[in-house]
Amino acid sequence: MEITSDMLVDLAINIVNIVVLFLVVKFLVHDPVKKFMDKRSASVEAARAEAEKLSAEALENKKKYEELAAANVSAYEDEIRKGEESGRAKAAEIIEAARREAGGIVSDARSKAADQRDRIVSDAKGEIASISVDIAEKLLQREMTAADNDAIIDSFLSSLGKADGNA
Amino acid sequence: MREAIVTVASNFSDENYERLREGLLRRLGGDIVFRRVEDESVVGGFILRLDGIVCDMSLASQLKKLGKELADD
Repeated sequence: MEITSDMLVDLAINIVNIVVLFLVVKFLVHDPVKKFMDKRSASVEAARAEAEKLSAEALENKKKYEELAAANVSAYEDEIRKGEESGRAKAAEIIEAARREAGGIVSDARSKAADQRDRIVSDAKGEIASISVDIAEKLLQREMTAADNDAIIDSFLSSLGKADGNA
Repeated sequence: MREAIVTVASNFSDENYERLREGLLRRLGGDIVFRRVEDESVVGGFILRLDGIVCDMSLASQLKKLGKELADD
């Protein structure tokens, strides 16, 4: 087949068309789209980086809160343990004081009861002795005879005589 | 003269009193004047007061001692 000048012209025109089309597509479609895509990609990347940063901060905060909560729990447990120990010590102290006081009260009550018993017995003895003496006095006042008085007189005079003799 | 006061109960007869008086005069001398005082609380026997000395030979004092011993026993 023989290449004609028309064919060359057509070829040249086609080449020019292709170049023009290429330029048109490049400046009107490719570049804006690429620019838009780059911008969007950068935006997405920034958003992803921001999300990662926030996620890391959230994890860090979570860790801090967990540590703080653990410390608080430990502190509360210590406080509770100290409170329990203090309460037990105070309870033992109160019980001991109550025991001492009760012992004192019981001892005091026993002592008072013993004193009262002794006093009652002593009063009863005194009362019985007094009654006995009263009865004996009444009987002797009635039964006493001159002979009985003579015996007392003789006993007295006899003791006087012995005293004189000794002197 | 010395004064002797003899305190007795009513059961202390005149014979008792005379017996006591004579016995005392015989042993202590004749310069004593006797005065009899009656007190039923003496019960029996007598209480003699002479020269500031008291000789308690009464049953009342014996009963009092007995009562004290009974109460203290």
